[in-house]
Order: sequence, then C-alpha cells, then structure tokens
Amino acid sequence: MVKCVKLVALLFVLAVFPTLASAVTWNVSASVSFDVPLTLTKQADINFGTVKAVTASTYTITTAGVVSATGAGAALYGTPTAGNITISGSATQTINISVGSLVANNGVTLQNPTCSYNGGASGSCTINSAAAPGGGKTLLLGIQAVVSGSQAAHTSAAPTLVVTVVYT
Amino acid sequence: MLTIALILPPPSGRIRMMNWSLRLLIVLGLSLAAPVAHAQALTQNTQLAFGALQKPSSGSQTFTVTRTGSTSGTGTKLYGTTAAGSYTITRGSLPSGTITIDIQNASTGSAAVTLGSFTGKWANTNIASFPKSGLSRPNRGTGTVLLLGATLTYTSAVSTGSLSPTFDIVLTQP
Repeated sequence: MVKCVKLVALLFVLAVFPTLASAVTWNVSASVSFDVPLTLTKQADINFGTVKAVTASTYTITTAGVVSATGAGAALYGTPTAGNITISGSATQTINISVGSLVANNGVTLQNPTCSYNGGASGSCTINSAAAPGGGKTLLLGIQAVVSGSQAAHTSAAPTLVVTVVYT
Repeated sequence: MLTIALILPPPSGRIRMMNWSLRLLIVLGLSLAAPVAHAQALTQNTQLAFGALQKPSSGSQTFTVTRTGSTSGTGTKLYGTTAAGSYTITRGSLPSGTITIDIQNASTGSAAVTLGSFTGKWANTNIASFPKSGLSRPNRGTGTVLLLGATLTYTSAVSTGSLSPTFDIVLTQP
C-alpha cells in the first residue's frame, strides 16, 4: 500500500511538473544597413559663351560643350562649357537622376536638357537605377536655350535648373 | 493536467489504488505528449527592418521603428524599406489562460550598434515594454499576431554595409 502511494506520488509529480511553467523561445532577425549620403559638387555651370544680341534663336549646348544655333543666331566668342557635377555617395546603391525646375531669365528659356552620367551616352536627364556613385562619378549637362531676341548687347541672362539625385 | 488529476475519484483500497495508479499513468502519458502534440509555432510575416541609415559623421544617433511601422529618431534613413516586425504565433489546442512575452538576447554583431527599447502589440494590447505578462494565449487555429518595433542606437564608428541583428522572442506559459 505504501509503495503504491509512493508510486502514485512519483507519477503525480512527474505528470504535473513539466506543465507548471514552460517557455518557448524563437530567435528572429532584423535588418539594417549603414551607408553614406549623396553629395553633389558643381564643377562647372552651363555656359553658352557670348551669342549674338537682339536676335531670336535657339541655342543648343551638348554634353560635350559644343554650341550650335538656329536661324540668325550665332555663338560669337567665349568658351562654352557643359554643366559638370560630381556625384558621390554609396558604393553599392544605385541612384535616380532628374532635371527640372527650369526657370527663365532675361528672355532666355531653357528646354530639353540632356545628360551624360559616368561616361555614358548623352540622352534624357531622367536616368533611373544609374550606377552607384561611390567616391565620385561625373554628370555632364547639356540644354537648349530659347532666346527671345529682346536682349541688348552687353547684357547677360542666367536661367536656372535643378538637378535632383536620390537613391533608388 | 493538474485539473485532470484532481477530478479523479479518491482511492479506497489496494485494488482501487491500482486503478488510481493506472489513471495517473494515463495522466503522465498525456502530460508528456502534450508538448509534442500541441507545440506552439512562430511564423515571421514581416521582418523588422530599419532600411539603410546614414552613418553618423560624429557622435551617436537613434532610429526607431514603431510597432505600426512609423519611424522617428535623430538618425536619417537614406533608402530601403522600414517595417515593424510581424509574427504569427499559434498555440495548437492548448487551453486558454495568460502568457508572458519577453524579448531577450538582442544582438547586432557590431559594438557600434545596439538594438533595444522594444515595443509591441499583441492582439489588441499595446506593449510599451517587455516583458509583458497577463497576455491572452494565442488564438486557436489562426494564431495571434505579435507586432514589434525597436530602437537602434549607433555611433560614427559603425561601418557601412549590412547588419542582421538578432533577438529572442520568449513566450512563457505560467
């Protein structure tokens, strides 16, 4: 009888104790990465040089810095330069480039910007998933300037645009 | 199991005691089988994600992803996806009651980065800090979703690149 009671007690303890408290553990992971911000450094503004005054025309400067004119317009002197921006940032994350916010000045309106990034062919300035800039890659800018013809000699115009670069 | 044992009829003699023992053996069998037959499971629906953060130029910064997925802190996210962690925990056929959930052993693998200040939501209960006791057990069948947010603290010593911080979700059944 005593042995039976002991056996019962032992079985009872064995049966109950494993369920008094139990813990279940799951190991899970999170994700994060660290990177450097994008920086844009302007190396050169777009410069058409000096063009013919009081003459309506559309001037085009390529990403190679070559200027051409329509109609009676003409590039007279000075050293034309394409826009040149150095983009720096992540060594691994691609970028999107866009150009906008074209603002006219002194009768000169900008249109049809062209871009060449990292030595690529000149084309649209809407560039998606472009190569990660790393320590620095060059963005060259060309554009068309529509001149109204109202500009007197020895005056200048400084229309503007905005280059936007974001990580994809 | 304790309830089942107590409702058994009291023994009254040697033969009855043998029956009592056999019944307790059944109880023991059920008890040992229970953790296997009704094991709880966790399924990750969404990984807790902080995106790509800007390496500080100096000092220390924080970046928090809340249990709702919103973000705050002194740090800057450069790109990538942020998301609260979402985990479905099932209980099988375990009886109802309360549980305690804790987050333990958070580790980032980088001395310059710490992961902590976890917040959560369990069913309709917001959890401001862990451990949190008195929570309802997971729903039968579909389970219950645990949402988690947390704060990363990191210094300028952090290296660029990816980290996979880890932590334990601990569910205790009193």
